[in-house]
Amino acid sequence: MSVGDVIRGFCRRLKIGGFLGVIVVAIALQFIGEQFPFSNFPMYAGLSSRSEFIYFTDFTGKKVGTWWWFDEGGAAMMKVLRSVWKKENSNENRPYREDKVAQKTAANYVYDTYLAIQPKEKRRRIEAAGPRLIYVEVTVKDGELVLKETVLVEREPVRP
Amino acid sequence: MIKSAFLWLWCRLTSLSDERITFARWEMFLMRAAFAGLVLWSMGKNLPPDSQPLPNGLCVFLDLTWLAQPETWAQAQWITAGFLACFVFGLSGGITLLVPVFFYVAMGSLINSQGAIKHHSQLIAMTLIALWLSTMVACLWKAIRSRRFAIFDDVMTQRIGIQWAMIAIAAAYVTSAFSKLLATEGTWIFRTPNLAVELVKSHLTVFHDTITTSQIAEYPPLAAFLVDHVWLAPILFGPGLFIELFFFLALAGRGWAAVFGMGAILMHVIITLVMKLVFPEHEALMLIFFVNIPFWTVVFIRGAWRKI
Repeated sequence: MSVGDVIRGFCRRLKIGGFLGVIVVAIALQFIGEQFPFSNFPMYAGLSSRSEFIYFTDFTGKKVGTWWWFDEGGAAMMKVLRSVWKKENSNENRPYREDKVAQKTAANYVYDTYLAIQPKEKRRRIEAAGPRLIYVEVTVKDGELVLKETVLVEREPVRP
Repeated sequence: MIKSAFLWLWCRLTSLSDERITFARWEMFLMRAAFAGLVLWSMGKNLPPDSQPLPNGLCVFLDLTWLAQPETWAQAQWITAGFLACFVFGLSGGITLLVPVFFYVAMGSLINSQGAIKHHSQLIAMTLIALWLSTMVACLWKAIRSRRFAIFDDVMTQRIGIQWAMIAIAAAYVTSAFSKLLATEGTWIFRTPNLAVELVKSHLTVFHDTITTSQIAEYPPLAAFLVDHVWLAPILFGPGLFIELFFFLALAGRGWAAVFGMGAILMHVIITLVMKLVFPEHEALMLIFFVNIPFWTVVFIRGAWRKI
């Protein structure tokens, strides 16, 4: 009897097949978390009663498509904003959401970072528009959907 | 009636076997070809970002920004295509998939090193790694036993590779269900009415991404309906959790794989309709490895032929 036969016999007795393989890998993914290429896929896992998103306007308040300015969607930019917000939170014992200064810092970081990677011409066009970054919090209060808007980035139009 | 139905279901479940499916050579060839096409399509979608401000994955250990130049990335895609072609035609996955694994994981690591974790490419990357590792281990194991190294994967090694690809995909769905249950202490289904706020968020984010005129932002009527009728959300979204949690049953045979594969596609389609989020990579993987349309087409044609 070879070593292979012994291992195969052991596996058969323990019923190590596809089912157990899935469960073992699934548990390993939980422990590893978000480290590419691995993930515990936590999308919509917490389901809190609050959500948030961002959008952009020019200085007159006219909405501008996030893609047209930054070649990126608002969802990805919101994720960056949130991770920087958490990082900038000055007091670890306090929920990051309560740190409004960190929130503004994170929003400015997001705007500046995405602006910096745009081609020169486009960058000038965005700056000339006097961009505003609006943060929207969505909640349910008394059986009604409530949207609360806050201006986090407010830049004066820069003449080209 | 209900008792006998449960008994029947229980007997079916306890008698399930999770042994390797005996895929034919031509089926596995088509699966490899379709998967290679999916990997290349996914790599060609975007140029990876040329910075890694918040490193994730491989970027934690390496500076990969050199890959993000248009010429370099085009070359990487051609090299990957060459290796994938060798893999499709049966050359050992343990050797041919190493380079595609590196480039694909590097691309995903760069994308996820911007501060925002995106979940488009993890499943393809995990499938690639599962195929590479399982075929490499099977190939080495055989080489040690027979003292002969085979440059081509035999049919058994190919089946092991496909089985582990399916295991990796199924594990991703099961772990997603684990995450939901852990984050809500098992009460995820009862919290589904909160999806109303997520619905508003995803609709208005998509709306503001591509706004061209002075359109008025309106959130979907379903969101308000969910808030008003809290019983609806568990009925609408609850089955998705069960599909994810029991996805390991897709390893129980071709029929189960097809049923769970189609269930997962349906789940993604519903999410796309309701939340405007798209999952082309996930749906393609389901079609390739679980639904397995070529096999069922052959079964259908053979059945029809016999009747004639």
